[in-house]
Amino acid sequence: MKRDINSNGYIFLYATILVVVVATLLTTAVLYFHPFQERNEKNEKRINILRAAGISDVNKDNAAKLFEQHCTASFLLDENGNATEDGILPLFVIDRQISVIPMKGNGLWGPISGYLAIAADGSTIVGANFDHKSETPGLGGEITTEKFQSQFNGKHIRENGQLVPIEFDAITGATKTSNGVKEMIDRTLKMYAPFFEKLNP
Amino acid sequence: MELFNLFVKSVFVDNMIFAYFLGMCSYLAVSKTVKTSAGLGLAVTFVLVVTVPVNYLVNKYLLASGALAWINPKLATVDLSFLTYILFIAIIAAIVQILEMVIETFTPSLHSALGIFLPLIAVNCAILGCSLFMQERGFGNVGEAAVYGLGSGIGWLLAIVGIAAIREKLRYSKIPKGLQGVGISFIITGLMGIAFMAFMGIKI
Amino acid sequence: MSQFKKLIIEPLRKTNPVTVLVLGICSCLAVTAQLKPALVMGASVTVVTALSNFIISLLRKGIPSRIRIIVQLVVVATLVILIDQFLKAFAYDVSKQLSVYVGLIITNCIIMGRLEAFALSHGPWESFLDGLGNGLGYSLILVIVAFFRELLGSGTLLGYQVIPQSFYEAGYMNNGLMILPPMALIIVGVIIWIQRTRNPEMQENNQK
Repeated sequence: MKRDINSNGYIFLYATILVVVVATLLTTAVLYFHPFQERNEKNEKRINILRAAGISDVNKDNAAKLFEQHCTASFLLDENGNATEDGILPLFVIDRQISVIPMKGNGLWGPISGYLAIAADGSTIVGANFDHKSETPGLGGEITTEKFQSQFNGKHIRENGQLVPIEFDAITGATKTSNGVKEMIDRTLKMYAPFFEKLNP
Repeated sequence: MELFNLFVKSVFVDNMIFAYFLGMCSYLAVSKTVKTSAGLGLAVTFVLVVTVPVNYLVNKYLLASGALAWINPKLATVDLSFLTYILFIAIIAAIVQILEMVIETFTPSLHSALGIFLPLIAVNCAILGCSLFMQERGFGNVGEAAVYGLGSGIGWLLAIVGIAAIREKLRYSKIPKGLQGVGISFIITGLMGIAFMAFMGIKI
Repeated sequence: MSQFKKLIIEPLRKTNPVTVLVLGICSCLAVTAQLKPALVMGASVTVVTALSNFIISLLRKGIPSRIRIIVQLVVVATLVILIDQFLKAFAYDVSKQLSVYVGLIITNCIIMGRLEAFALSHGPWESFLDGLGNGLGYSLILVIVAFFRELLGSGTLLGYQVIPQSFYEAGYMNNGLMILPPMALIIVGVIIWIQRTRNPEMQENNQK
């Protein structure tokens, strides 16, 4: 029986088998890898939060332990800055004093995110940590470097109780990504403003 | 009016070639004559206008986190986004395959002029890139996605026809033998890219 | 032995995928701002091109021609996604660097170009070598471009300061233009110029 590889029947069969094989392969792989990946991602989250709060000697081996040690509380806020069960704004408290808030925004090629750590006075930035999924290495990718992140240390988000926009040096050649970072910070701070006002009026 | 702004922005400010440098391979290799370039540009535009809205629907009703809720509310936690690359690419490849058959039947001269770059439309990073950008930008409806695809395609078309026109004129210039053809195209594209950076900060 | 040499050596010069076949340009612009990402990308593309060439060559007699593009793309995409997911689970730091490139690798025209031009009509071992050779040729160009861009644009190489501080104090400044993608195009143009001046048989003769 000579198979005509261009007959409609064969094409249909081939396509179906290919789809089934690929789908099975990918789904099995993803399902199998998922718990490992989740663990890595959780760890990374802890590392980023701790780094933003100024604890810089954290790495993937001690992240879980250090996080448990230093993260004294975490809760969800609603839009008025009150901790409620169905709030939508997460907040982490480090060493009882530092508030760490997560941020999400858009870079040039894809999403960017970060954590901002604010001191107990509700105004001074203790540190910032940024991450991205697909920015260009060497350009937008520089937002994850110590050099870029450390420029936020010591800046103030509020003056006389009012939110003030944060100024920082953008990355040459990464205009869109830098703008994305600024927009992300400004928008996030607006959402958390009620909380910081309550913290220190 | 919003759609028009989106269109203008996709053609000039978010130009696939000069702002994001996507779709370079076929852009540089096929731009020897204006006629072939226009043909390829139209093919790319066609593929974009079809694939971006289709991928938008696929993303909305299948891939995004919680997208499957319309089948059964219990499926709202399923997140199939890891299948994004494969599904988008498969849809793009299917459209390109159909396009290749159509071009081979109706304009065989264009088919042989484009050569290997016709099937390469499927891997044209501009096409996958456009769908991926669409996924991120969260358009409100299919119409916006279609306009975005159309604008990006026309931007690409303008870029490739532009450089083809320049290259045709260049045949009468004294270019060093080593730079003729592909070499000078690279340099010109680089210069055009620097020029287009002027559009970068414009907000429409 | 000579075939082995031919498949690996030629793409480094005479049939270089970037400067001669004009493939793989987009990633050439995107990842060459610094040397390290260029190396990572070069290595990844070499591995994926070699493997996908091998797989498609094994399957070549059975692929219906009407869906061949889809089949090729699906194979490449699956391979890249599997590698990416595996790295995310077991080598998270490496995967973070590579995740950025996953999309760029899948649509890298070199991979598709070699599948169409070689793997569909040659045996598995030769296809593997062809993929390896083209990947290396591509990596070579990436490294050259990234070398100049990082050196002249940031004064560093692989992150290490190379241009001495004394130069900066004397008034030397990093060429910021080098960091931007258009410069990569110009550098490749110059490489092509040099290559074709040394090998006149590669020149295009379309001047009037």
